[in-house]
Amino acid sequence: MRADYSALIRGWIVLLLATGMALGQSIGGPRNIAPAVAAPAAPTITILTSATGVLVRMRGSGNASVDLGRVSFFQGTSAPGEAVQRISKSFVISTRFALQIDCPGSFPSSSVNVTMSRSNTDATDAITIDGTILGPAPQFLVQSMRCGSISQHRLEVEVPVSTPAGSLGTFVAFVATLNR
Amino acid sequence: MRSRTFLAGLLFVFALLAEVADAQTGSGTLSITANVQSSIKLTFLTDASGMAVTGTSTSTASLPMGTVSMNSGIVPANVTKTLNGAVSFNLSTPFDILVNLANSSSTTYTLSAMLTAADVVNVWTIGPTDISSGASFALASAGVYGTAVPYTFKLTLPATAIGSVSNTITFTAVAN
Repeated sequence: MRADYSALIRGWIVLLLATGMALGQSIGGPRNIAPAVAAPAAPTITILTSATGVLVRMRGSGNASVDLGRVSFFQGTSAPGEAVQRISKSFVISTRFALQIDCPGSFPSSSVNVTMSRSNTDATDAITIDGTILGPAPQFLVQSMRCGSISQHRLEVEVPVSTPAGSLGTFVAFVATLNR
Repeated sequence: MRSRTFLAGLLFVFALLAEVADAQTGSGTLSITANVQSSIKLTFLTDASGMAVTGTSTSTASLPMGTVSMNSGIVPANVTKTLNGAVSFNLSTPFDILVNLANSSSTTYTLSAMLTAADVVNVWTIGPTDISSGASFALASAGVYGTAVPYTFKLTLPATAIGSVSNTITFTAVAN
């Protein structure tokens, strides 16, 4: 009875390993057990300029920056790729950017969940991406985004008229988590 | 002994599979900067008892008085015509100026008016201030933001005047 049970488990293990080895291998090609069990590398995030947005400057390894330039309640902005809309007691600067996700070592069908959060929440301005106001807690930007794909997003910065003139700066953190 | 070896191998395989199953994450950061400028806006409004301002609620407006004469005819609604004996006559109407401010700690503003082309024939006044010379004249030194302030525009024309009379007055509000 015990021998039968052991044989069943052995068979299951062999089947599991054989399936893993077979995936992604060409027929008759060299086979190696290592890729079947090695963890895929972490997903990478690249923030890109959108065709209709302001220039996104790459800062290396997933970091980027956008400068919305000089903006004001009554004069708006003259920078290309952004717009200013006045509402009663504040104005909203809007633009677009793109997000590219790559998943080295993963299957082409792999996907990620992308979350976003904001570091400095004590500021008087509000940051909104795709209609979601950012806070310190991560919130979903995209669920099940295909690896290798690019998504377009709308960024809005709302500045109250009570905010003193001067420089405004904030950081938005994106995290891509590979789905199993 | 053989079954222990097999069990150890089994645990090793599970450990590898568990590593594969761990969530892999990557991150990126977007820095956003902007330079917020303070801004001020002056708009003209039709006063409750004044003639309709063309371009009310904008920064470019006009007061078209139409065709008038000293001793006959009619004037537009809410325009007052008064005779200065047989020498001249006045056309006057109130209008409002509204100044708004954003992203500044200023609490008051200075308002000035300047006639674009000096006029030695007609007399142009805003309230009690004669601006005919074309210089810049202060109308208010501590205006309050967000409150429409009425000013009376008056044009004095000599009895000998004939033909078209027009000019432009530039109003400037500066935050104190």
